[in-house]
Amino acid sequence: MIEAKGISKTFGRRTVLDKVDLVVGDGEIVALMGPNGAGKTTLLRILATLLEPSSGEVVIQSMRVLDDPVIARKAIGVIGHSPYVYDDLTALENLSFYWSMYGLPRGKSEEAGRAMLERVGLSHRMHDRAAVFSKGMRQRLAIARALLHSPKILLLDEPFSSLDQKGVDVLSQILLEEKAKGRSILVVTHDVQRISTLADRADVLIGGRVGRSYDSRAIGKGELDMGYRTSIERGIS
Amino acid sequence: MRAALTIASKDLKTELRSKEMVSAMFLFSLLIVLAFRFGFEESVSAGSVDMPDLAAASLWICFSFAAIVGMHSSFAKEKDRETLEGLMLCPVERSELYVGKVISNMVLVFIVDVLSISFFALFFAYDYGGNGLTVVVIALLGTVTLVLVGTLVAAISVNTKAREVLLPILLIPLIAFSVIMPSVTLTGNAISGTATESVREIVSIAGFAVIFGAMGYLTADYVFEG
Amino acid sequence: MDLKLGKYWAWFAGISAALMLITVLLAVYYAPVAASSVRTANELLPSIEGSTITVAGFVADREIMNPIRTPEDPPVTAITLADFSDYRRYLDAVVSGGLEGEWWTIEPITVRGPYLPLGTNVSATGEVVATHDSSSFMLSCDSSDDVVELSSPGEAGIMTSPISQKIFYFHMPSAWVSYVGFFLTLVFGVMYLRTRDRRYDRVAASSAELGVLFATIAIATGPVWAKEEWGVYWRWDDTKLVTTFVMWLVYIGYLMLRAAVVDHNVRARMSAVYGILGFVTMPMSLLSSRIAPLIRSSHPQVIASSSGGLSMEAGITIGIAVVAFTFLFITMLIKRVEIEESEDELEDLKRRVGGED
Repeated sequence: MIEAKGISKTFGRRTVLDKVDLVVGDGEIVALMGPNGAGKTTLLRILATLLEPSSGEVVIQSMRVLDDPVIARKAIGVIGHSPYVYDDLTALENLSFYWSMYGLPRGKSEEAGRAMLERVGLSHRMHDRAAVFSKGMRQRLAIARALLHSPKILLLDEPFSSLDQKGVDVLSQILLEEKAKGRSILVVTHDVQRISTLADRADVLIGGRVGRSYDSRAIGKGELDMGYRTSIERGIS
Repeated sequence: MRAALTIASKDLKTELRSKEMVSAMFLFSLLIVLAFRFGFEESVSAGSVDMPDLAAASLWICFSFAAIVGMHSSFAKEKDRETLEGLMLCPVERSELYVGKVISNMVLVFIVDVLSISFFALFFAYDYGGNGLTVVVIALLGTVTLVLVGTLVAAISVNTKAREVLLPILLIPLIAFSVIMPSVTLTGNAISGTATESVREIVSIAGFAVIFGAMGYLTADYVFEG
Repeated sequence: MDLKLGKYWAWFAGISAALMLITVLLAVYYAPVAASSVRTANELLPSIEGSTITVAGFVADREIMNPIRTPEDPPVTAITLADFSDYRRYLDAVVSGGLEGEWWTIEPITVRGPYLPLGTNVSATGEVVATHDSSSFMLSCDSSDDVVELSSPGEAGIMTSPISQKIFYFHMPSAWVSYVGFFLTLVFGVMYLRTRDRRYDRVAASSAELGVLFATIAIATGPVWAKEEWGVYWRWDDTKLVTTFVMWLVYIGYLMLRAAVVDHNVRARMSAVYGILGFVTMPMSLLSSRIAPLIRSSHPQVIASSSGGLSMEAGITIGIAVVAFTFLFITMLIKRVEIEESEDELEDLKRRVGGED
């Protein structure tokens, strides 16, 4: 479980996030939506420990992240804007590198890497350097990288954008599997259609605050689609 | 420490494949030695130049500038391909990032040091008075201090516009007294066979290594953030 | 600013201006000629006739020495001033002796005597046997048959000419406040890193800027002084000059670093760390005239433990000048921080109008 309690973030005098509260429970997929500049990515970066909030706190499994961000990072897997992979290393070597960086047991990295590449459908290219990968393949590698250390929390920033149809299906499948394992999953996305089939809840962030929240029943009835459009329009005007 | 070594070995492995940094540093130092050779052509041919002095000065110019090129690209690569953020997501202390980069930079810069020493010997037909090995050892000593401070400054300058220009501007004043001056004296003395007299220089270089290393270790949390 | 000093800025400015005026008046009327403990050769030499003194120093500046004399040249018994173009001192010597606990610096000094190779440490003890026209004296060394003659063409010591002395009243306080500025950059940089309060970053940036300004004044006035006193504008063998120059470059770099980062937080963080790192050059510069015996330096030690320092009159004047400059610095810092605040505010307003939110 990951919980944001009254998170505010100001850059200078500009307030990007204004006392945001957000909870992603175990086995829950939450979509975080909102117009450009609403502070979605900033919130994600704070949850991922890349940024410190100006006030408020993040709690992961009842542990305050700011007390020991190093430990907290072990529980977090991030798929960001960039895949965070090294072009000059092969797919498998990339995973071995991160395996070691996460302090996971030596000697098991190869086995775990192969299994993970299998899962994202890259096992036939595991000995190719990431430099020759297409954008979608890099994204798959990024998914493998983020899941490598079996994180309890998954934070995804626009994960569907560079994937082809098959890749989207693979990721959706993985998200459902992870959900079944009781992971907490937060997805930042604009893709209402795609997320409607996955999310248990959708929070809409507007002007640095959580504007509206839709539960799975509301999403199922298509309220998110309609409501999202109107709330975005209202937020801008 | 495991993370630092992991980063260092990752850096060296990617470098072994792409040879991006070493080839740039290699060419850079080759050109500097060549420039000195052309510049001192007349006096070297006439034998009227003080070879230990010339060798010491041009070698340290080579080492410093080649190191600047290398240390810059070690961070610029990570920053441009956004892998630096991937490293920051890892559950390791920021100081491990610094130590890892210091180790890989030290190895690469030292390789280029040895190459530069060989170029100089080749282009000037000079044998360092038979003290070539001492010169290499001194290069290692000075490189340690140079890389300890240079890695930290490169981590700072990589966040800026015009970072290629800014790194030498920020770094050279810092290494002028701590590395270049004592190392040049030391190298000159070593070639003349009197390295043992230069205890003060050795102590000074080592002392600055400790100061800079401690600063890098302690400020890494602030340099690698967000 | 933090301590609410802001509203008193007019007081600081007034105090600074008044003290500055007093400094000028004192420099002209009270302490126009140097130093009592630094005596002119005319005063000094008759008083030491017949006493035993020691000459110690080294033959300086091989740049100038080299083309004139090489070991192959026949030894000369006299080297005249003219051989050294306008570089007036070539034996960097301290003549000590006479009363216990007292020493004099006689410079510039001319040596007549045996051939002295480059970098030779000269140390000779002997009796002052004669004083010629009261501005030079002969010293017979008991160590050899050679007679070393020391002569000094006129006044001796650090504050010989009226111009150099008056410049000094501005040179040294400028250097002092630049050290203060760089020290504040360090302190406020550390405070910024601890608290992430942007106000501290503004003070750090402003004091670095003022530090560079005053260091520039010190570096620009220094050569004028040096030309009068040493006969050259700059000496690369003087540690103080070179270390100060390097420190100046470090803080120019600090300002360039700030100019090259767009994001406020990143700029503040990076420059704070560089401010800490760059501070290592400050003790080097500040202390370099103290550790002169270790490294070559001819820079005057203003606060000296022996009697080689300034006269009381000059000391009082320089003290007032230092206070005046410190108040000037505080006034400028307050105003600079206010400007910085307004700039930040303007930037925020622009961003708001631009509709980035």
